[in-house]
Amino acid sequence: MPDRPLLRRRTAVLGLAATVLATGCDHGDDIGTSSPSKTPSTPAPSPSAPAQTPDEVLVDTTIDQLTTAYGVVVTARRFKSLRQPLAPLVKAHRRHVEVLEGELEGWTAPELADPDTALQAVRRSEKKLHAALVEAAGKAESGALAKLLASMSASVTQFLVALPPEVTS
Amino acid sequence: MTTELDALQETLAAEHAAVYVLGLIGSRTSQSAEADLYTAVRAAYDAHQESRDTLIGEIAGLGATPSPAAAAYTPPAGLETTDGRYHAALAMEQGCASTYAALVGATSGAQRLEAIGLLNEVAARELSFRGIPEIFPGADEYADR
Repeated sequence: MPDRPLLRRRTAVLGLAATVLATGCDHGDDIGTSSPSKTPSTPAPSPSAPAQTPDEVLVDTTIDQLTTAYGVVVTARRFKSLRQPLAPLVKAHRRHVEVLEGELEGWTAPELADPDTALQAVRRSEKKLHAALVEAAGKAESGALAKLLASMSASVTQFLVALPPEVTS
Repeated sequence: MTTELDALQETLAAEHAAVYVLGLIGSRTSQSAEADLYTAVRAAYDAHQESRDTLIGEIAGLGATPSPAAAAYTPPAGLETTDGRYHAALAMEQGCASTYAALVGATSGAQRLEAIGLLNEVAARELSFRGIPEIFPGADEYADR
């Protein structure tokens, strides 16, 4: 059992996946360095990218879920009363994505009318993320990855417990 | 390589120690003057006793002999003050979180899911002992990456 995950070898795969997500291109396209000589009718031969392992798929999915949760928290922090209480949670999500060798790209800002609504949205979003992390930790083939994801779920648990019960101005 | 049985035995050893430490802290905590601490210690003590007993059953179910509690434990320092008791309880829970996280990594299936649940429970309890949310509970090796 390796002591530490991961997954240096998945960096290239994830980098490509992130770029695809950001540009909306289909997988397999040469999106980073498109050559003017190419024509749409003659697709470039794509290098035979190795198939993703189940754990790599799991990590990509987890990064997506972390990104979604991050979007909710960052948006909620636009309310002054939530700025400070949610700062550690933002930091945690950033670190979690960083350790998974992903990037926080393409997050969306939900409609949050007021601080109370925003806090409720954060709570719902974090509970959903927690469930996803627990499920991912249970599915991981690598014990080291399972440990990492379980630790992240425990972190989310702690932040959920520590969230203020209501907004104080 | 740590086998599942090894990890279960290590977790059981941690639970034996936790039950001892919490019993000691509880015996030095005033139920009236330190109600919050007393309640938290009581809850943690009950939870660790239950986990210990469950582990004993699981290890026996694998055909192995559950490790007994040690003959003696070194009491944590600082138990003469309220702050010291909080600190000792928090340190104990953080140690258990590391043990559960290791158990997650060494197990699979239902056993792993149970370990994940225990890790989450102990992480939540840390906050009742003045802990603050961590980014990687039980997995300090990632904290400084």
